[in-house]
Amino acid sequence: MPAPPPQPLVRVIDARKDYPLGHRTVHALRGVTLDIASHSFVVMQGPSGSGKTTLLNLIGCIDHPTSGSIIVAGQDTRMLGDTALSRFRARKLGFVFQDFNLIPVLTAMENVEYPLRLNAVPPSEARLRALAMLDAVGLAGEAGQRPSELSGGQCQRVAVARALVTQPELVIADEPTANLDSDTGGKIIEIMRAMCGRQGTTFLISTHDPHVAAHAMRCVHLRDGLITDA
Amino acid sequence: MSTWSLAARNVWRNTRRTTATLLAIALSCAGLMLFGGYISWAHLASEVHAVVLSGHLQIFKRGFQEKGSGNPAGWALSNYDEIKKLLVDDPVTGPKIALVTGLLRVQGIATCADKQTTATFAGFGAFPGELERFLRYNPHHLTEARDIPANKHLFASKPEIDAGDPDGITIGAGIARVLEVRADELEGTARPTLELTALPPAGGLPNMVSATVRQISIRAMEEIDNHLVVMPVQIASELLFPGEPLHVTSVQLLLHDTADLPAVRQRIDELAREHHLDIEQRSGWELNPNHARSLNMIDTFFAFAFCIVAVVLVFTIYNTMMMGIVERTREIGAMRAMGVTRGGIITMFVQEGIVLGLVGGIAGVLLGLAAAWCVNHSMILYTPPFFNVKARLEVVCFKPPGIIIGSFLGCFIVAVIGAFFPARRAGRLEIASALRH
Repeated sequence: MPAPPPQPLVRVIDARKDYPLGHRTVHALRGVTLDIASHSFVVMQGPSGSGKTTLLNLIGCIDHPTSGSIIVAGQDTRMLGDTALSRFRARKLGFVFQDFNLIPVLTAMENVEYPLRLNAVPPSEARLRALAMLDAVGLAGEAGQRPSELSGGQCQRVAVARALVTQPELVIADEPTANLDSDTGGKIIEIMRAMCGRQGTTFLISTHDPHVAAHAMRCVHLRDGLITDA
Repeated sequence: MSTWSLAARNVWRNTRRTTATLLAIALSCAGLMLFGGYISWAHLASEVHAVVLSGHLQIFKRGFQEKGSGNPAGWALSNYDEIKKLLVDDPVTGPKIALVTGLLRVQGIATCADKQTTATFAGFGAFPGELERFLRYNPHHLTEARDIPANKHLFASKPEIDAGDPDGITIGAGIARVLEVRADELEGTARPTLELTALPPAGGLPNMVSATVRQISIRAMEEIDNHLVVMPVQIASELLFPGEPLHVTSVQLLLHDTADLPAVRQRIDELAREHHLDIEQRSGWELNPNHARSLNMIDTFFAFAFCIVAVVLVFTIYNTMMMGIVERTREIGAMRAMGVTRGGIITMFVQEGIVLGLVGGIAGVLLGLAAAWCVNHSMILYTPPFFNVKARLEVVCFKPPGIIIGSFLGCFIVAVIGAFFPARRAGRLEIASALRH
């Protein structure tokens, strides 16, 4: 008897998301169903307003679907309260934002250390792991610099290190190269791809950039809140 | 990197705004300290003045306070020595008492035959030497009104009565004016003579004694100074009880420590019961009720001022924190996405409020101490209500130290309250909308 197929890391089942906008309702997602396997490098594409960010927010457990289910790492996210969801995100997920969203009063090292502190990793171990991760993204020499002293590309590499340092199962990156030039953006994607291979972390990236899509194991296309091609 | 370190760094993100907020907290704290220090001074000065006027405690014949004011000598105690011995020898009251003395109140008419002037007087006979102990009572080392240069000419330079000057009396500045007795007349050998007339308590014709004015002095309150005559107790006794043993209208106590007053009062009640003494007792504060009323009034002012400061400070800190939260909305969203709980966000901003409150409060205490030093070392004079002498503006921050602790804690708690509501709002931000901000 053949072994059952591996459980996908992410299962989105008929997810809908509506936003009230004045007197009318905007249907950001109109019933999306999607499975994402572990260790994959998935790129999500689509025009502005197609629902990419909304879908990432639902999968990243930072927003709730109007209806449907989101199951991440075997956990139905509807079953978790706000605090439990926060802890779940801290343990299982990493985020890379378009605007980096580093904490400006912390150094690169401290920014990378921060998620480890949220997971109650002892300070000495957190420091070692943060330094190793900064080294992995090529920024060990800039560990003591604050974000304001780093270039955009360096900031995004710090953000990638911060997302990966807890060894999450899934990293969600919302347009991570949008604010970078193509060379720098390319390097960021290469780092992410390498980490996917090395750590086995699953990446889910939204982008308009065709060069990013070129690195994808799988591309998901959205339009008007529906998946048109997965 | 601890959460406190993060809070401290966040506080200093916007240096100008933080400095302005810290200044608001520090100035509020310093202002409360100065006002509180002044009120503290008023409480101590009130205690001193009540004791100077009436001692810590006075013992009267029962019913004196209710009925004896019109005929004090009629309510005189004939067993002064017995009461004094009882109090001094008692193992409870004895060690707590610094001095027991007797006063014989006299009221009548004073006539200066040379000037053909007459005035009613209300005075007392006292034991020379012992009276000065009360007049010099100053356990808190406050600036005495008699030591202020502007007042010096108003106070007697010598003791008011002296055992070596048995017919010498001191009269108040107000009655001296009415009797036309001038200070320059007191220097020579021929001092002005006053005829003091008073009705004996048993009735009959008034008694009269002659006395010479050795000094003009004041008790700092006009209604007292207008009628005050201080005389040796023998003169008063001769005036009211000629040929009789010594009587006093009250036995006056000076304690080593005001805090012992309740214990002493309780023991005196017990002694009165045990020895069948028909007496009642009143504290200096009960005999001078205006002191407590004035203090209540300024305490109310302080509470009112504190409320205003608290409201202004809460809104200042609320505003500062809200501006910070609006500026950091995306950052809050990112932190929440990384796994910081709502409680974690609230804690972070409350910690920032605590840092603001701590730094501002400490700066305020230092500023307040510096301002208090300046006030205490500058001779700022004013005339307090109900008094007719100048007082020096003083602030007492260390007695009790609660003034410093209270001002600091007051501002600190207000700062934390001011930070809490914005922090709660930050904690309630929806992550997705915060990231879109």
